[in-house]
Amino acid sequence: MEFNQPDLASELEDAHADDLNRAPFGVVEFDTQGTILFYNQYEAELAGISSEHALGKNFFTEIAPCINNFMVATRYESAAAANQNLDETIDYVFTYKLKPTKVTLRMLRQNRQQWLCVEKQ
Amino acid sequence: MATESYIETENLLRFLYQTPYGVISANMAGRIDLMNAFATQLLMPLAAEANFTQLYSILAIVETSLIDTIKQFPQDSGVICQNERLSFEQPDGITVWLDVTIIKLSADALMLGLMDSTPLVDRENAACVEAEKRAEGAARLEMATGVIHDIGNAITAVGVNAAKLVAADNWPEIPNLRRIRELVDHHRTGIDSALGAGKGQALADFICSIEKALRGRQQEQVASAAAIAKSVHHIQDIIRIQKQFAKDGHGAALLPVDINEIFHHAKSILENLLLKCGITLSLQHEGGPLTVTGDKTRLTQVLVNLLKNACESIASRAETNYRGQITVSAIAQADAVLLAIRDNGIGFDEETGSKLNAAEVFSSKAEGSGVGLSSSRSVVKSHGGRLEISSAGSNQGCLVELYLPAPAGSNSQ
Repeated sequence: MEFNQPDLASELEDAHADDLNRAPFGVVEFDTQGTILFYNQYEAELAGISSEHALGKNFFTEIAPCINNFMVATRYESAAAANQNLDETIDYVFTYKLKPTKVTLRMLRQNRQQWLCVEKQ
Repeated sequence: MATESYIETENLLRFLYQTPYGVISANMAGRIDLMNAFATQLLMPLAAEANFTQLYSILAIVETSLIDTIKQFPQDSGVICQNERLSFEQPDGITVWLDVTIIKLSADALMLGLMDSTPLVDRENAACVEAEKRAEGAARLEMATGVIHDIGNAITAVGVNAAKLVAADNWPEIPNLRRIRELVDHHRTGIDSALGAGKGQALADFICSIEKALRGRQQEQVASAAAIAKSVHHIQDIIRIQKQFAKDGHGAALLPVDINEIFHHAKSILENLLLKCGITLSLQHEGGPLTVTGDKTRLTQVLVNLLKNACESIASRAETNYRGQITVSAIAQADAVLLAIRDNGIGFDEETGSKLNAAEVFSSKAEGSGVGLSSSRSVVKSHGGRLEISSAGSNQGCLVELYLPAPAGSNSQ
């Protein structure tokens, strides 16, 4: 599984949890309300937040408020409101353990499933 | 199994990730070593231009002068600035407002606090707009009060002159003619012998006819002056109410009023307009007084407004010699009186009807200001009643239904 592969959303749809935990980038799956359904190992280690703690929490308000803005959260809201797929990549800064860290975000939505994939630059 | 220190760290991180206040730690060279999630959320729109590991790179976009303020701060520690309000425009055009506090912790350590003050600024701006609107409203009210006062003075003079015309015996020609006629009567024989037989009687009859004609004209003028005095009285009533409104926002007390009286008063005010437009206006209701609770003058104003609208609607019909008709039906209901005003004017379509009732527009006429319908609706509402307007369509006339509360048990149904 690669961050830049064109059919990443389809691969994420079919992947098992073990595959997702082995991914060399962060993968977070969440529903249209923002509730985290899956939080992979890579992301847990970078953020310093355990997967157990993250599951069931609101991604944008409780786990990663740094993306609760028009650049990320609003993009998912708009795609969900229009019932459209989403595959957009942007440069961003995450504060992993409060260290500003340059990352690339890939925002994905397909068949009503939503993921945010995060790759460190 | 997670160790105690891991759990402590995770709890601390969660606390910092969720802190709804932006915090940045940097050294005096501007290198950022710590930054929480909220600070990123606020500043991320600047990411395309700024380097997020360099504080001065961010401040250069938001407020350059702060860089010098920080660098020139003379002490080793202390508050450099507190709640300094800054703003920047996001790429989506929205302006973000920040209240920034910068504290120098030591010779080489800075702490920045960022509060999102956008909602606060929005509320302050809304309050300013509201205050401006109120000031504008107060100025308009003052102007309107001045105008009302001036009109009041002018109309009082008209009223005094009308009253003089009614009361004064200002036709001295009539008694003079009578005296001449009596003189001619007295000297009829002499006039006959001087001018010929029957001339004395003819002269007396001629003077008598002039006297009669003059008396008729005097009566007409007195009647007109009386009508003017009545209208002036109505205008003075309106002015009194408007003055009261301007003063404390309330009208006169609501008392039992007879609908017949309101109708006839409104009809007399509109007499000339009805005559000019060739419109027949009639009241239909089954005998006796029909009482509502209200302010007679303001309800008369409402009926005048609605009847004027009906007249204008009829006058807008394209047909020549169109026979305009307005019928006012008064129907007693359990605790109200329904006044249905029906005209055969231009009417309006369904869409305009819903807008008129939703008060989105106030006039179905292209050139109408809508003040009449709007003010009528607010007067009726202040009486605890309601006003509904409908039309079967273009050129199908219009029906205005006015529900006015009635004193309990006053009207038999």
